Amino acid sequence: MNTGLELQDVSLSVGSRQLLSLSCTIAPGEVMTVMGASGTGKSTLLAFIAGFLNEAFTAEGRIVLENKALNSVPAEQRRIGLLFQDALLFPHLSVAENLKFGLVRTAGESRKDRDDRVEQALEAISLGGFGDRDPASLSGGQQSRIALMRLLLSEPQAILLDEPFSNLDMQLRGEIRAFTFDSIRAANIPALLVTHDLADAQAAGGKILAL
Amino acid sequence: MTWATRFLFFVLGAPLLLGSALALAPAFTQTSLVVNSTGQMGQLLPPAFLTLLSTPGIATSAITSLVSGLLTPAISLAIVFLFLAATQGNSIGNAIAKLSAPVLAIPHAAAAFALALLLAPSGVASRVVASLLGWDLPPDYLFINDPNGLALILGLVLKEAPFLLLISLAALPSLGAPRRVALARTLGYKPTTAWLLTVAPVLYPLVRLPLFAVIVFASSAVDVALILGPSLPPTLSVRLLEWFVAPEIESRQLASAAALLQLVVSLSALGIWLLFERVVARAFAPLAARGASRLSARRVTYDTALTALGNALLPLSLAFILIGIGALMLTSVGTEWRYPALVPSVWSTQQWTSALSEWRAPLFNATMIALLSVTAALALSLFMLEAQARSSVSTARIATFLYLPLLVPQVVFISGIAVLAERALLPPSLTLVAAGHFLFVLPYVYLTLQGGYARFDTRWLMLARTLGASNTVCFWRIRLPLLSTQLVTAVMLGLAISLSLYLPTQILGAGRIPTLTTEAIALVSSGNRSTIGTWALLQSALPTLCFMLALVLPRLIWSRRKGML
Repeated sequence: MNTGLELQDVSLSVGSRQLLSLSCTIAPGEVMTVMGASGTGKSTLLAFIAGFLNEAFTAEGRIVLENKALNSVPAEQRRIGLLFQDALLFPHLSVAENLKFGLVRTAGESRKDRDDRVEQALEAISLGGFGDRDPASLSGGQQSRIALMRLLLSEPQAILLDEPFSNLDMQLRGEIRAFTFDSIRAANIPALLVTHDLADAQAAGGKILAL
Repeated sequence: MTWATRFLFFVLGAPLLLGSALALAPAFTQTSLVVNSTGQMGQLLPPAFLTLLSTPGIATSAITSLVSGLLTPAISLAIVFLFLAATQGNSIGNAIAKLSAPVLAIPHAAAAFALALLLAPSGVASRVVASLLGWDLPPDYLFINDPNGLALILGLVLKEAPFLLLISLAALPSLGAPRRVALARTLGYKPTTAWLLTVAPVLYPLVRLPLFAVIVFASSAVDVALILGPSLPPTLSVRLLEWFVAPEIESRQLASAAALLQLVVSLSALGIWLLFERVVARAFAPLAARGASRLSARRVTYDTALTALGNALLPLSLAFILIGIGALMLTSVGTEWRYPALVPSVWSTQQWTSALSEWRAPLFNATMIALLSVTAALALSLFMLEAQARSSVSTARIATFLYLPLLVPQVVFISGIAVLAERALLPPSLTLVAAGHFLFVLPYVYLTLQGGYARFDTRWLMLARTLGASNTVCFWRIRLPLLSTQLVTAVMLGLAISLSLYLPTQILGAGRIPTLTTEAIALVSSGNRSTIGTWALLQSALPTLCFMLALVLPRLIWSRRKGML
């Protein structure tokens, strides 16, 4: 039973100044939004949850995912995925290699099976046959979809979204946003969205927390 | 300070300190009872110093070194700053800046040979004038090996100006030069003056450390001084080397005393430069505060003159080397080249065929030394940078420390390391020479990679980690491929530097490990232009190839990944 992502009495501070404190539970399939102006510690919160908190900050409280405390687990073992403002497809890898980078290995799976899974994933985002392409040759929208698919193929148990739509133009923005939230709901994964755009928060449809 | 930083301090600091100490020690040990008849002076100073101070022409040698250590950086910096002020990133300026990269690749020795061939009384320049004016005999002047060391300074300037240009171009983008100049121009200053008043003062601190390295190098260079410097007496560094390699024990002590004098000369050059900095800073403030006078015709004339100099000097210095290299090519295939003919009258590839039978061992040695030293420097640099990146410690101060091997005269601490190796009964070997090269290659390899690490977008690593990759996987599959351009640059720069190094090769190899560089310089005394031309070109070929590869390789590797270029 997936119990979602819990933040228990989390408080972040830099030196003696407290940035934020919160407690909340994000249910599977829910996209909770944290809103606030820059400097309120939104990105610090994401870094803390993902496992990259800079030494300059001190954090208290527990991160609980699937009934397990994550505080001392290394980032690569937390199974928490990240989506940034930019698609950040690795420029030295092909589209398929980007997807394979995070693809979870299953026992007894052949190379061919993995290639097939990648191709199916590409078809699912209407980019079938794009595996050999150079990421730099794709449009912004295509890159965004591949970035999300790469994230989903790594089978995360929670997703953090760091203003993922703010670099997209208005037309693309609504489309990618709907696609992202639908995919998260379909995968039934808890997600935390950080944004300063109210439209993003409303489209997310979950709790909204203003800092 | 992390343990990794401490390790780096040790790897660079220990050979420097130990080498310098051992180079200076023999001067203070009395191996024989010297009866002093010179009075009080004799009781105060160890005998080696008395011998040194009574050596004919020693003051002249020291002064030549000091003057070269001051004029070389001053002229080079002036050429570079005037060039940047006059061109300000326009297309001609950019094209010329690109031309300076291959000139940087040409070893000091080859550039010195090229200059000699260009400006000697029977050189190419004189032949051009002769064919215009109808001279039959070369003019009677002494420029190459002139007693004032002017040829030496010119030779050094031709190599150091492109170096300072490259350093300046790397530092400029962060300074917002166009905005500063635009602001000053709205206040009524002409463009070149505007650049010199608003950009130069903020650029200078960023090129200061490399400039100090130029001061020390110019005050103690051996290879260029052997080819272009005065001979009666030679520079202090050349005499030091002669004494160091001489078999008698007394001359070892003399070399040691000379090493101390060399240290004093180089430090004095630095000290005088620091004073000079203060004077310029004092003079600068009132100059800027005087304000722009729109109507002053004199101001406009100054600006025009500065612009003309800026546009002319750097291209001219590049042309000197490139035309000189062309002359080297001609002379290497010309057996008979009578004055004042512009081209040889008898052509032959004999020099090449005979050189080619002799270059295998030197080429092998040079390549092995370069590969060994660069591999070690690369491994250590990556290890340190990765350790620092993971502990999120600032690396800014380490860069200053890395300049240390460039701020102590090579001839001083390298001769000390040779003594250390002798005491430890280590025979001259490729490995020993490579260890010496490592000290000079490391700063450049490290600083190149440090730039890449500093600009690295850490989101790539965060992303890879959240996709399940460990730190080790991130390093090999994300960090290294994304840094591949800097890696190639660092390796090629390191190889080019090692291939061109003369002094560490000569001293640590005790003359028994010939490389292309040592063989080329050994030909100085032969006076055979043809042979010198051939070897100078052979010596330049590999470093030039390295620089070309640094440009071409990333494009080849990533031809199908536009995001990497």
